Amino acid sequence: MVKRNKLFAVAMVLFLLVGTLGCSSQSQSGSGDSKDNPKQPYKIGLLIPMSGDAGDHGQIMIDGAKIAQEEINAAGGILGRQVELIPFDSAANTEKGVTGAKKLIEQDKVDALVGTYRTGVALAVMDVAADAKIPFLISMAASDEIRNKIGKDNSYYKYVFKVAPDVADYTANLLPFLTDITKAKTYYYAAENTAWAKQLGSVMKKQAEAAGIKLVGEAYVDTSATEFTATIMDIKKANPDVVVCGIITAPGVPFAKQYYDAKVPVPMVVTSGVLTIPNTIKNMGAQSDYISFGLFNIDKPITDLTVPFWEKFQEKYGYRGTGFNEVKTYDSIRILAEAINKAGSFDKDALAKTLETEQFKGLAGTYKFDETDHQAKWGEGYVNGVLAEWKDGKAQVIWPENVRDSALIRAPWWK
Amino acid sequence: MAFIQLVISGVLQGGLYALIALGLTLTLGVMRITDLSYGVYYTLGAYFSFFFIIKLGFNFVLAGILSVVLAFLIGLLVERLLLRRIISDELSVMILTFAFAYALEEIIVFVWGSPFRTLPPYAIGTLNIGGILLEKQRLVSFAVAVVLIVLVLLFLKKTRFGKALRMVSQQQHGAYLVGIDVQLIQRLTFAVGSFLAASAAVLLSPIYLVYPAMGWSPLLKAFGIVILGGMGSVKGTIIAAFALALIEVLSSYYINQSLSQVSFFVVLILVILIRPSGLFGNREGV
Amino acid sequence: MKEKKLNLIFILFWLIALLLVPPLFPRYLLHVFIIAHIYAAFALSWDLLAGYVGELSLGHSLFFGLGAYSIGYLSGKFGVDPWLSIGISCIVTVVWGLLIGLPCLRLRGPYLAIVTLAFQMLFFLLANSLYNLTGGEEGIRNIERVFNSTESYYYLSVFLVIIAFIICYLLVSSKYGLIFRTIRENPEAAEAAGVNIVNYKMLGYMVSALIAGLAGSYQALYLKIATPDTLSMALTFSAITIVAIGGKGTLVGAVLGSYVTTFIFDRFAFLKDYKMLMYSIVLVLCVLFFRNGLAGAVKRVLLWRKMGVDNMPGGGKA
Repeated sequence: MVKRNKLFAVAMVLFLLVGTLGCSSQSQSGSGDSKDNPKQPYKIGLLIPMSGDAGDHGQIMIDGAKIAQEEINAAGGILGRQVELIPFDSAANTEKGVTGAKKLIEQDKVDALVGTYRTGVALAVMDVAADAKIPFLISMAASDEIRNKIGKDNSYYKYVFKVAPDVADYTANLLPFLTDITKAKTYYYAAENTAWAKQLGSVMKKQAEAAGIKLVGEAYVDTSATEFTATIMDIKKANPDVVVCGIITAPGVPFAKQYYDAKVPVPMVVTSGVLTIPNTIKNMGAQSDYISFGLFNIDKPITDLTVPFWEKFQEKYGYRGTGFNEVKTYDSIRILAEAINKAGSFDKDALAKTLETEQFKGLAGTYKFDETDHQAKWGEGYVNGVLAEWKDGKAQVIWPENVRDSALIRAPWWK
Repeated sequence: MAFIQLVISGVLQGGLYALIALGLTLTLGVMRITDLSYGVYYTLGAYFSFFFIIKLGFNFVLAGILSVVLAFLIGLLVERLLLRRIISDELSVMILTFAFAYALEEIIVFVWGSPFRTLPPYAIGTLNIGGILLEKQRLVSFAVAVVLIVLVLLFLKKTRFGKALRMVSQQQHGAYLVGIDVQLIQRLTFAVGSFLAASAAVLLSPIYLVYPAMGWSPLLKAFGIVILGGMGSVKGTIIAAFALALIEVLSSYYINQSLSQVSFFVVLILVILIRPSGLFGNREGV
Repeated sequence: MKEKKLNLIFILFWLIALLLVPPLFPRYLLHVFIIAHIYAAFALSWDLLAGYVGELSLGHSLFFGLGAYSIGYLSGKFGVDPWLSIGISCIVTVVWGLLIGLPCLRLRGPYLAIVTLAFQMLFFLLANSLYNLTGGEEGIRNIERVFNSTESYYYLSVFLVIIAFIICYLLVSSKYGLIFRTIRENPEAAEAAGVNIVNYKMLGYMVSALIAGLAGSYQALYLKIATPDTLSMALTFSAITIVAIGGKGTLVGAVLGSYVTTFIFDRFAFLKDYKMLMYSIVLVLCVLFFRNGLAGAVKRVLLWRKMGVDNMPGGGKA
């Protein structure tokens, strides 16, 4: 036994030593300078989660980014330079995100950064990018704290732009369900006990009140909750016209199942999360029916790019997009390329100026960034979302009217 | 009315908590180890039944039986190949089982990917008895769980193996002296623990979500229940499971909905402070 | 007493090597070294507890996170001087160590492991949900920048990890170390000899909490942000991996393990999803077959004599 252990010990040490040494030699060979040289590729660093609890979002972002890369390169690249993508796994972790940003900037010498899924990562990476004066397009992280931070010191964060929707955009996406589709007077907010859902709740309340809709009850359930009898009883007691659901992680599914089984006579609309992912819904059977939800994109002619992209995506990768991760990553890279092409030079200040003043077409609409806080604008004529409803495992678009499949399909037990 | 509805929901939940915690109590009592990979068998049970039902199209009874049998066999293998080598070193066992739990989670991501999965319910619909709603799926799961718990209890009381098991848990050295194969008993107990965790998962996966990290929360709950009931006491474990489920449901309705998890921790800490031996703790034996 | 000499030689070589890093390596690697030092200090604190006191802390990132959030609170929200904040956050973590340790360390059995795990998961939950208090997922920002250059942060990290190492080393090589060992190997004998086991375990636990909190507050100071992932289970897991690879109960192992894993992690970024899988399998294999870790292997080569596994410090009964 002892002998075998010794042998293993030696093997282990050798393995680790070779690993470390092999690596440090690799670090010296990697170098890329002479910027702006037309023969050099334009390098875009992608900071995305590929492991950790948000790990399954990473691959879909890469898949979306690759389509953008192909299209740009086929159209002649960015001012003649081919686009090269360098992904780094930020594991949705702040420390790994900063490490990734530093590696991409200082070692891989990328020309721009795109990505970050978690707001915490985005906030930390913003500083690294701003220090290094590298353009950074935040593609997914949503919190309005990012916008506020840029707005407060917009000369420091000159090259940071937020393609991702703002909190207020998430709720604005759901609002037509209350105002147009159900003509509700009251609503109930059931959400999980996270900062994100709370922010969403308070913004929702403001927007709903402005539209004359009253909040009649709120429930914040635990992220590991599995039993929702109390919540559903409370909803029945409050008797609202609509339930707005902000449960976006694991408890969303058991909640929806119990909600269906309890035949609550109130339509429910959920925000982008676990209940809007086709793969999750697939095996829920009838229990997913009549759930309406907000989406940022779907294969409808929202702009002339949208349908071809969804078709290409499905054909290339053999699965359907989610309407968020791949769309926002694609749009970010496209905007970056278009802005440099429009500016006509690789000068970063020219790029920032173009991004601040021009408009850019993407899958989700027309992007126009706010001049001070660099947030992509939301609403009619800008970026806009869709509302859909699950029926027999398929998403039926119910809003906006010009692209919808059908009107809201009513459950027999609704009042 | 609200109170009755909540109590019934709590009891339905409690039966499944009891099933999960029972396996852990047995392993703790008989093997004297802290098995942090216990949640893994829960995760495996859920993924196996997902695999058999969705990917292979088996009916759910067959899929359930296959899943728990597989979990039982994996339990046997893990005990023999991993735990047996280091079973006397408490710290190493904890590190190993912790690492093993993590590794298995990653293997599941590798094999089945990390997205959330769901299973269709075995029984759809709700019974309405005088305004009290009972989901059929929860009733079915609860009934099966109770049958399994009763079977395990009978097994412990009536069979020779059960008696030997109790003996090992009370007096390991004595059991060894009277000629009981302690190693064999321990191995089988470990496998029975895996079996129970997996069967809880089979019963719960049509209600909850299936995802790689799903095992941690039941692991912690099970530990809390075992500590609350008194380490190694089967009776204490079952009572504690129901008590905990009721506390969760009632506190979330009457106090605050986000409190279900916090109330669990509060109870756990209070027990450790005031009565560390648990409600029915005799520390010795099942 | 060869071990003592080896440890001294190690510290000396280590210090010289560390001072040579900034002029010789590209700037990005300085950042990797800083991260390695934070992990090393955190792993040291875990090793002190698991390898010497004989208690397992499965929610050790609790203290790391408490350190990070304390400095976040003090410096980021109330504008307290960052240096003073570090001091106060150390006190905060020690007090929490006291609160958790007191009820749990009285009991024999896996209570401490389970309760720290429960607390860590609770705090992780609260950090995510109590938006007004903790900033939720965004964490607490605006921690004051103390240096402008990465080099300065690097030297501070060197100082941090060396201090952590020396504190641990002094503690375990003093008479306390001997008592720890007795408690771990034979608690009945220690009790019979009139040793108050709880007090000694408490001491070890609090020092461990202190160092973990120091590492956490340093990370927050360096990244200028404290987020919930400082409280995550994955962080505890990386400390355990580092110590298992480096060698439990050796202190040097925590440092070696940290360098190896950080640099391998950095280099093998292309492994993506398989990284954690590889990590956990390496950890299982280490616990089963490589009980003395890198430090054990290095020591065996240096001492240049045949040594049974049983003679290794902190070694098991393989």
